[in-house]
Amino acid sequence: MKKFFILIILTLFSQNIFADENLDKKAREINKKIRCVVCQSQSIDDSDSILARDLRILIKEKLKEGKNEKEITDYLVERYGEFILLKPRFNSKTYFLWLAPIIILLFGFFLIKGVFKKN
Amino acid sequence: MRYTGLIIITAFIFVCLFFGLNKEDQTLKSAFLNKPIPEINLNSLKKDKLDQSDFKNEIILVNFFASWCVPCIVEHDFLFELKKQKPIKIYGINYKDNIKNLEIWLEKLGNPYSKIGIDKTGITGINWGVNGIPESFLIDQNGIIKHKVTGVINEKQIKILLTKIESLEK
Repeated sequence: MKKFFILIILTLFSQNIFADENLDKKAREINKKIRCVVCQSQSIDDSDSILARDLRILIKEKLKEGKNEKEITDYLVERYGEFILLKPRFNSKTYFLWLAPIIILLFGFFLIKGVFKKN
Repeated sequence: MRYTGLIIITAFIFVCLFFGLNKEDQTLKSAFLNKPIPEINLNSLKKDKLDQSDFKNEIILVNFFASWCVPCIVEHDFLFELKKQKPIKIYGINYKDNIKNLEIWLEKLGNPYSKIGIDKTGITGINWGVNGIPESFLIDQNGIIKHKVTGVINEKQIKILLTKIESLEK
């Protein structure tokens, strides 16, 4: 009987540890996508600034509340603008940003093709 | 003549980059500009509340500050100067500070604030999209954020604020 209780306690305890590990993993995944607005070229996962630390805590709290990644990033974008995302969203403001490399690549391709054809 | 198109496009890209990089205003604008103030519900220094109901029918400047913030000391005199030139209400939001240090700080430098909300955890700062302190928000009579000052309010910023306040009063 004693062994049975110890087994139950250990099972519950290990479940808690795994749940915490999963939460930490998910939080770090999100942290890596969020820009530290103080240091700008770092994610909040890499930054030691006060704001980055607060944002890391906030993200973990929101995950504990059951919020998903989109809800958390929407909350941050609402407050800091899209600048807070290290990878900008694909929308009307960023079409040119995302499509410019492809357009330039195609332009270069046709230009080279034209030059070779003439030669 | 063969490469005219290429030269024109390359020149266009360089002109865009040149003007983009030389844009005068490099500061981040508040995502709340022209939007209602975000959630605020803080205990104030005088044991009452600083909340949404405090932002009605008057122009208010909200200033995020702390006693540990060195630029805030520089800014403090300018807040008095602003009040002298235009007697508007200034609400202070004390960001992640020690209350005893804050009280000593206010005693030493004076208190330009009509009310001080205590943001112990920094969550109100995040709710308002604050990057760092000092940072200030000018709010109109309807509780709409009209202007944000990132960094110290100095002589130049006072002039900008006075112009904005005058246009809001009309």
